[in-house]
Amino acid sequence: MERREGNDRTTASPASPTRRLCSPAAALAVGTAFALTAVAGCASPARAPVAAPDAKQLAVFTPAATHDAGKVVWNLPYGEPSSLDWTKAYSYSENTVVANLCEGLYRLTPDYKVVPNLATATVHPDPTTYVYTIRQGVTFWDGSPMTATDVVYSLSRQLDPSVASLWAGSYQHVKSITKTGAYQVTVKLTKPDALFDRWLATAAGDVGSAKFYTAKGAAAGTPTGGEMCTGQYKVQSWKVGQSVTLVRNDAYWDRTRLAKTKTFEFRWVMDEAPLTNALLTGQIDGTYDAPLSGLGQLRTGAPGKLWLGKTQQSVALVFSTRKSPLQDIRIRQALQLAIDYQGIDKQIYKDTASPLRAYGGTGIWGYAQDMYSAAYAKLPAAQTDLAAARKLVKDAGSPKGEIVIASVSDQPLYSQLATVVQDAGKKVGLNIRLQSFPTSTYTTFFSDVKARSQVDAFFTTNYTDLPEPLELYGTFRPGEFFNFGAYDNAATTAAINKALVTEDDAQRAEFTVQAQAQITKDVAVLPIAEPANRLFMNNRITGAPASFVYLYAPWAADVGAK
Amino acid sequence: MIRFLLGRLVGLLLTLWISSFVVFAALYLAPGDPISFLTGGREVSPLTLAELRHQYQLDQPFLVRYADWLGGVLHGHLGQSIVAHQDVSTLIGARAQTSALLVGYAAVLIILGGIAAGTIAALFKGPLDSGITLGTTVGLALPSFVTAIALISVFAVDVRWFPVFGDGSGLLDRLWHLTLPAIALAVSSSALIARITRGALREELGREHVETARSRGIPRRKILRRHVLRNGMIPVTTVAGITVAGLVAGSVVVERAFNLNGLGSFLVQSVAANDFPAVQAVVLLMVAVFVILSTVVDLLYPLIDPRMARGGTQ
Amino acid sequence: MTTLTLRRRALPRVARTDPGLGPVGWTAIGVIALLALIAVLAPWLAPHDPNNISLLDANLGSSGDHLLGTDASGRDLLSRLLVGARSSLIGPLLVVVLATALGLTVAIVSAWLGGWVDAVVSRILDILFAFPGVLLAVLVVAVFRAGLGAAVAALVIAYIPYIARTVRSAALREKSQPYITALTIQGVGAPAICVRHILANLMPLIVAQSTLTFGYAMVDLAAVSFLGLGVQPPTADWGVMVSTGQPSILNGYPQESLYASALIVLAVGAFNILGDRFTERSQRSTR
Repeated sequence: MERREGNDRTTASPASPTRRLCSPAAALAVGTAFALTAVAGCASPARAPVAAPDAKQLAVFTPAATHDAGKVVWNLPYGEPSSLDWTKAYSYSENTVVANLCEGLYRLTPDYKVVPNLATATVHPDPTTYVYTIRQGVTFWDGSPMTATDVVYSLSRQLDPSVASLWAGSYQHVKSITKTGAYQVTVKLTKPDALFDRWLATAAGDVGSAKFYTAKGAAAGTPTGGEMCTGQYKVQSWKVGQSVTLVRNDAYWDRTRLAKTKTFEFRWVMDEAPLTNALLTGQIDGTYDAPLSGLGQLRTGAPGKLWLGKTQQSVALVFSTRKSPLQDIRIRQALQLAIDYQGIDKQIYKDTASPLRAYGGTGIWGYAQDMYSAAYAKLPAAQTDLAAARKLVKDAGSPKGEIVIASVSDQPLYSQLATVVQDAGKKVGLNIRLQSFPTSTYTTFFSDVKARSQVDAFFTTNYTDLPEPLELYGTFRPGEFFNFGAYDNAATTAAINKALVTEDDAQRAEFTVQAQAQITKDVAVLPIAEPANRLFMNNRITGAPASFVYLYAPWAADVGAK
Repeated sequence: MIRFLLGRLVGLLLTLWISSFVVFAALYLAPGDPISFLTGGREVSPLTLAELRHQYQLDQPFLVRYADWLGGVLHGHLGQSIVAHQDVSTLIGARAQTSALLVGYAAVLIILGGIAAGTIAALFKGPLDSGITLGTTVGLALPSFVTAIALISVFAVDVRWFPVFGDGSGLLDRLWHLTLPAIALAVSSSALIARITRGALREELGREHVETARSRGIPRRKILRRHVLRNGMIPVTTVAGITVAGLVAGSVVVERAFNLNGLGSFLVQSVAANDFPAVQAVVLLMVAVFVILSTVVDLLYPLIDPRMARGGTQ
Repeated sequence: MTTLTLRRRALPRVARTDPGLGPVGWTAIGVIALLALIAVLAPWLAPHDPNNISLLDANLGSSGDHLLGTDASGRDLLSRLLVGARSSLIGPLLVVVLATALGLTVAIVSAWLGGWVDAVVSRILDILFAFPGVLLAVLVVAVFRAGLGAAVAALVIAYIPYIARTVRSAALREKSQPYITALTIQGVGAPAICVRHILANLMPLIVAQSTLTFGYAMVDLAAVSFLGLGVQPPTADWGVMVSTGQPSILNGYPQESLYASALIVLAVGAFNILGDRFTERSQRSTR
């Protein structure tokens, strides 16, 4: 239930390594006493302060670990990884683990900066050519040196049909990947696609041993096949159905970034109640996506601390093309005005979400902060106004037609949200029926027009892989994969098209902001909430980044004892 | 004897074959496909999608896929899980251990606890009997998930005597982890066994030969052992056997409540993901275990009751 | 789940002198009648709209306005428990009626016709018998979507073999009675014999079975709902409430799970007791 879109072009010269100006200690000091939680506000140096009064102050770092915690047990709330092969790491569990094993040419930092990693330098001589200088002295876990051959092999693997990489989409414009020197790799594109280079900071750019993966074939990434990368951790064991255990790679190339903790064990407790119990009793040390229903206990009764971090996620109600009263913009506006956003934050998210003024939240502005921030502040705040909503419904002729909203039977969050939306509809005279689907059916709504035509609207939790608002708004052009409601507005399309070819950050932001304004005005999507990144660590450990960076950045290495 | 076993074997194979077809058809008709589950609704390039569908033969017609799967099974390959990218037999092996241990543990509790409670109630009339009868009435009405929630709240969270989740490693640790789940699974079944035992023993106690033996002055202990308990155990064995066989599938609720990675929760997950090779394998395993266990129960009859002719199942 | 349905076959065969249903039996009838009355009158009895959420009034304790307090979404618990009686009782009722009707028909027809029909039916029942009930529920839900209907359908299929087996053997016993032969010689048609005599004579057994089945169906349906495959939120249902109330227990508000569990245990207990009494009486009458 997330999305990405691979068509925009942005300049992507990797930034120079950023110093963490916002030190963990500072993070604590700045910590504001927001609500009941200990929320540490820590704006990264390059950013203007967030100018959205209705958004919560969110943390980026947690206090640095001082020494080895011995063993840390960490939870994967989305279940056992289906594979640890980076070409198949395309969702929460897989990426959360793989990010610590395999690294790519670039690395993401917790404050969303892209810094050089296995590549020391990038030259971008013309719009379709990238020349990467490969770092020397890096070794795989088995001690063999990483060479340009391994890089060429790993990147090419994304295009191998027999591998069927889930990341292949980000390589759609790649013409050739060649070794042009002992430590140099050149990638040629068929047409300009600056985002290609950016994807290399995600799992799409990971590098593994050519020899190993050639030998293992399809077994790579499975519990028996194993993997061979260069990261701070290597896999010690994978007990099917039980646990994945990582152990520190003591020969890691960057001695300053050696993993703090010797052993990292991943478990997967998916249901909220058992997970809360496990965190309360200390059987699990930490988790991202801390269970909402257990937050009360985790805040007050737990031997640990809940951190609310910067996020790239947003939750929204999206519309299908099925005929219903929702096709009338006034009905969509009415519904938007009827929803109890405060109640959603208080009761469903337990004070951990912010209302959204637009589809994309405040956490995805990776550049041109002031512009995005100013534009966001100009949009109307999400608030409940039942009188205005009722008037809109009346103006629209008080349609009696049924509106079917889908929820997911095995995910309580969506049933709760659906109940709130149904209740909102009822208050303004809309006839909303809820229908719940198992996850397997629900996921087909995203890919199959016919499947989603069973309902009029459904919920999504989106995240952008990169801090780039265009990743979200780019999907509102006709024919896009994620344009569920077949939204088609000439002004929006024109703005997006311009943004996609604009390499200058400020200019691109300007076009993106135009698209954002139009899409928001048309209620092409109904933003519900921006859930903070919920990190829980017990008192024994500290150091995990608080921001939503754990899918692609090597976060576990920072976790250790206080 | 051999004929009887052969008959059962043919029946088992037939049952497995028909079940496999029904399950295959059900999953084929079910909306959703494993690939979209695998990608979690994220955008995947059409080429990759086509390649993945081809790799897992999702682009083949129903009968071709079924024939192919059946051919694999006949050659000993249960197939590859689409979601987990590995052999289903590997996936099941680890989970089957947990389930077997849980069911075995619960079975011991059910049989020991149930027979003990039932015997006490049968032999000691009065408040003890009334107490046990009341207890079994409530126990019988207790859904396993209610017991599970109560046990977790009290013993794992409040007083923290037991772990709240997971299956542990090493036999002792595992038993430790499985104690609360096994109790949750056993409560209502042991109530049942207790009632059956009480009823059966009372019936035996009232029989003529017992009365006669008693009037002859044969020690009570001996009468109980020789006549009452032995005969009384016949209905108890039947019910216990079938109850335990049913636990294999029934444990899913408890596994879910305790977040155990057993066959039951694996089945629910696999169905949710439409991962048909995995679903098939679990279903066939469960059906086979059920049929085999009930056959064993039938075979046990003659051992307990020498008067029974073999093959008597009614 | 299957284990529960098995109990029916294995009731204690005690037939003591039993004067009618006894006080306990009548109490059980009283409890059942009361619950049924609540289910019928729920919309009028409920002080609040059971689905009316008020996120700011979550987890309130007992008060004049909310006699039993509110749940995590601020819905009135008393109203939800009262209205929840409907789906919690209608589900098992449907299962019992449908499974009994189908099982009965199959059993009597196959017992009467005998020969290959009987052989085939027995074979099919054996296969169904080996199919765990929970498995059926999971599969049916996968095909048809989660909901009370799918859960009921699955349990009906799972229960048929148990009902059909018991009825079939009883019907076979009945068929071998001399009076049936007499009727056949008199030229009474097969359907008439089956309905007027065999069915009529099996009635006490069927009533006893159905009563017990009701209790098991209730537990099974609640379990299916607990797994998230049965009745769907926001519909009020006791099984769902046990499950949705679970997180609140941790936060110190056990009311929702507690009350719903208590009602399930009360209802199932009442049906079990009554079923046992009926069974004893039916066995006495056949002896």
